Amino acid sequence: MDKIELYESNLRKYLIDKLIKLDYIDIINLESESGIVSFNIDGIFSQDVAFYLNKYNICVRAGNHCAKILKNETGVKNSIRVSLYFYNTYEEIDKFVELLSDKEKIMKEMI
Amino acid sequence: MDTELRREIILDNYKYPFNKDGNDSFGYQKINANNVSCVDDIDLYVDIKDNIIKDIRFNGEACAISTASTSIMLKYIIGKSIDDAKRFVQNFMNMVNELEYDKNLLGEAIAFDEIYKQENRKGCVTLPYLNIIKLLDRYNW
Repeated sequence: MDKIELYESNLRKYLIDKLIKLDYIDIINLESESGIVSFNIDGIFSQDVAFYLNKYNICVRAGNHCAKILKNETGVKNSIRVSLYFYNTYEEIDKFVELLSDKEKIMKEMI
Repeated sequence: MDTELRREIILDNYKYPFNKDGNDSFGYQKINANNVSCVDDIDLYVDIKDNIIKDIRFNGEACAISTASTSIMLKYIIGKSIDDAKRFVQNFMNMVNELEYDKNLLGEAIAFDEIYKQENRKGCVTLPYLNIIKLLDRYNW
């Protein structure tokens, strides 16, 4: 279990280090301890991002995650949620970040 | 319709939505349009006088399809009589539900002519229509 936890933590750090370089991405839970990374893309609704990623077989959750009072804590009503676990890989994160690295492409393909 | 043109119409209405400045200060009738299966949540502010839709404003958070659909619907039903607005709505719903419709009456809303292929987006595109019709139905034909 310790190895799984460490791997998950490293994956999360790897993802955040890449996402943080994209200035139009706002990461909501930078400090939390889990495989969860929640974020928003400036000017694009979270569900549209999820729809776009789904086209590339990437499954994320979007919206308020059935936690309607979460916004009281985070100040954010809706977000995209990535849930990393031991079956995810660094290569998958590379693909994920690459897909988010072109905002125009997201806008074009999200509908 | 050309795919690029379709996308351009939808994105233009998403990025620069028409009359997306609604709030209570207008003093209009307010209808909330929300989708139980997602987080689309739009308020419509409607001003009807003498059976004419004088003005509609909207606001809220919703996906690109819902936002664009609302923006386009407003462009075409403002200024119409209640009866004509109902016909516009019915014609649009017919298109979405694969029934007979007149594409010449739809204006930019024709951009959604292939939405029927995406069952999960039908709820998005019809959100403003299903809710404005609830208000219009309170008026007699």
